[in-house]
Amino acid sequence: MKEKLEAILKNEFGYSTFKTGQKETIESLLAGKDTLAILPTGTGKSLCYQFVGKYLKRSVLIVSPLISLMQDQVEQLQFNGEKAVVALNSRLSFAEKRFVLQNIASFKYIYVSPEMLSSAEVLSALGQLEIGLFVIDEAHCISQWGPDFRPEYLNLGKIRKKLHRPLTLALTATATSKVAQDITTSLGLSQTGNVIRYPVDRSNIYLGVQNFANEQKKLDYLLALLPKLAGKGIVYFSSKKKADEINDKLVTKGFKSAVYHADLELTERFLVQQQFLNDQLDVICATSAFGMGINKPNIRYVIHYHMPNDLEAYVQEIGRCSRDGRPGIAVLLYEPSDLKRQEFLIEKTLPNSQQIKYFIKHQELLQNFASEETQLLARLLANGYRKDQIETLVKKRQTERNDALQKMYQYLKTGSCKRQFIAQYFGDKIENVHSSDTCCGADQAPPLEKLGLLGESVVRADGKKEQDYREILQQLFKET
Amino acid sequence: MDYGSEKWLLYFSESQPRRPAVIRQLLSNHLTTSALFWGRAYGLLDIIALPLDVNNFEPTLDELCQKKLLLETSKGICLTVKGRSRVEELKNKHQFLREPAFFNGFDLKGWEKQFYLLVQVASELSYQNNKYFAITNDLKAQQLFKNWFRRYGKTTLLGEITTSLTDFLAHEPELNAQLFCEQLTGHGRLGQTKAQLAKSYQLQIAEIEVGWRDLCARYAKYLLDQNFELAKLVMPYKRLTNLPASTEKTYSLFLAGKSIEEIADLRKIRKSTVQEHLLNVAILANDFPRERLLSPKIKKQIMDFFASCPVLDWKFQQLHESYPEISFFEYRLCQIERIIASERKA
Repeated sequence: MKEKLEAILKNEFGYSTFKTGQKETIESLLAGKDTLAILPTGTGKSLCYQFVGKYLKRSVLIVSPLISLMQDQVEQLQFNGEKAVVALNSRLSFAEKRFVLQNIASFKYIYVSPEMLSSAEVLSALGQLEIGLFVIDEAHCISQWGPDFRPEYLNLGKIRKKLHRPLTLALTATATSKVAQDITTSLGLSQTGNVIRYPVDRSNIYLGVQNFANEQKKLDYLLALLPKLAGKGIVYFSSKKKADEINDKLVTKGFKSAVYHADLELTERFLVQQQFLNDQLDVICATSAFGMGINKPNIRYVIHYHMPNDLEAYVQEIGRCSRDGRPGIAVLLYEPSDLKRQEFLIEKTLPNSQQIKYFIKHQELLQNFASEETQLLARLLANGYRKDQIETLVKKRQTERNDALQKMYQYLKTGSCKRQFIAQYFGDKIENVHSSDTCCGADQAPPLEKLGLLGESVVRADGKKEQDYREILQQLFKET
Repeated sequence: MDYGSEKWLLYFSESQPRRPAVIRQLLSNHLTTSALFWGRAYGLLDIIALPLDVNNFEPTLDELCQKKLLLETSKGICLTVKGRSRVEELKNKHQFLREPAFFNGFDLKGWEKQFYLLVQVASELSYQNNKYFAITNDLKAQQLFKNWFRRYGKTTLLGEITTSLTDFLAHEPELNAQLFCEQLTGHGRLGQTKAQLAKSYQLQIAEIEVGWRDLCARYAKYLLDQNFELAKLVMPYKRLTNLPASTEKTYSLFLAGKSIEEIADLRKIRKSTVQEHLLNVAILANDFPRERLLSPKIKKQIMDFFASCPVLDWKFQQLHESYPEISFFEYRLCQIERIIASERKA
């Protein structure tokens, strides 16, 4: 069996060894056990279900919360030569959706948004399929106690029943024990299920925090740090405007930098992502829209210009660093007004009592609004939540999110080991806590040299001669 | 003031005062009956839904008036002599949309995706490579392309794409062709984003955007005009009708012989809404059967009343005082008919 699995891994995916937790998860599924796998970021969670799909030669249905993540996964599979793959989500036109549903049996990997899965039409088409594996990606969304609560995720238990309880895999990188328990119960996995848990810690990533008195000092630090860093990296922002502004500064200073956020058209997002993957860019100034599904093993640094809202998001985002196992560095930059900004953002992404009252009376108007809080309201109403239930839920979410933000704040202020702090938060036991000065540090210069991350200045004048447009056309279309 | 603001001069006329609100509504695809009516009267229906940002439109016009490029009158805004010569300069120096009709006649965004994909697939095929990330996941574009490719094959694809792009771009200013090609993605070559190009050519992003869309649209038209097989990939992006779905429903009931009252009843909408829908069709479609709604007698009364008055200066209130039995709907229909007749004469 062992050799057989490794042979498939080599032949189908081109890897010679499994990464942390992959094999255990695959074996658990092949033994017919429903499985919740909590695997650290960067361990190739999607390989687990792709592998099982290939092995069982049956369709795999994957519920995924984010359209961009779905698209990335579809692209990755297509790139690897798997053409029978489709994403069923709101981006499809009516005609495209009908085409996909009529031909559903011809797809091996079907990605679906939870909203789409709640539709009777989609469910009945999927009901005709013999599903080899039912996957819930980012399964922490199932939990009311998870950071990205999505009401439709709560229906997945019922939907699983309607699909005749297929073999199920719930995947997440970050789940506290409370969240994990909630996932297995909601999906009805608790009796027969298997929970595979690996610590979220990524020991090869140095965890740094720098505090500043004001934003100017923070900016100066960033501009001084970047040229010293070897390799490519990401700088995360909570504001698109700030990402644009700093990217402009970096480009003017000669960095090969580009910006990535939701305002970019899809083709431009594709281009920036591919330029980065192909090492044509040194740094990306991004919002959290960037990075889900990005598999670039040699990202050497992840800098947060703004703090994220919770440790789950932070761990996910820094998890994109050094997936090849070599040393990498995560630095969180903080100045006092950052905390207020995040508090404001949290408040803004939840509907207030006035909005709840208004939109309950005018539900038909909700479709005209695309903001996060109105979308949440629309989803809650579509799922039959009443006014009092919505108010209670929103209040609870507000408290939970503020608590999570406070934890994030404690992380950046703690004087003891940052790695230990994260482990405790997720309930992980890690052994070699704070073994050396390459573990973590606050308000001190990161040990770049020791980590092998001290680079020559990446700032350089670009001497490349521009190609004439005729040469571009000649390069594009090779004469045969 | 930059080119970005001065581009609005292109939509004004020296001889005809125009209302800014109408232009804004047309550009932003906010098609009220009044906007459509005046759009037709100004000969500006081609600009419906042009991909231009109309934020700050009116304040910018104020600035253009202060610079004496535009002149505000009681009937609307006119281009000044200085404004007209600036328009000529702009047309020589800058990117502007030379095929505006393409934007409301075709789904340009859809065609853009198709075009990106077409170039990428052709490029990768010419290197015999089939392992690459597709530039778009758009199912329609992918499906249309697959069907086209099955029918015409690799030789036609590569032959036509190189010939058509080379010939088409040969007639473009060098810089426009350069900016266009730098945005293309294919084998071993990733396109530049608009922001990247703006930085390296020291242009504004808006200008790069307009240039790209203009060339995309005109390349599509070139394929159609020159009868390339690739034109079959453009045709599916042609919009069958410019009418919104609800107007279309009203119109088909009307063509089926239903009266305004019957349509209102059947569709559970107000009579005035039915009338608005029908006026919209009358403005957009030259073959609208006006005679069914406008009797020869009423038409003659209106025409005689306004005998010596230019059609755009007609006032309903004046007519109403002499002929209270004539409705605004009939008055407007007659006015539309006159505008279309004068367009034909011109």
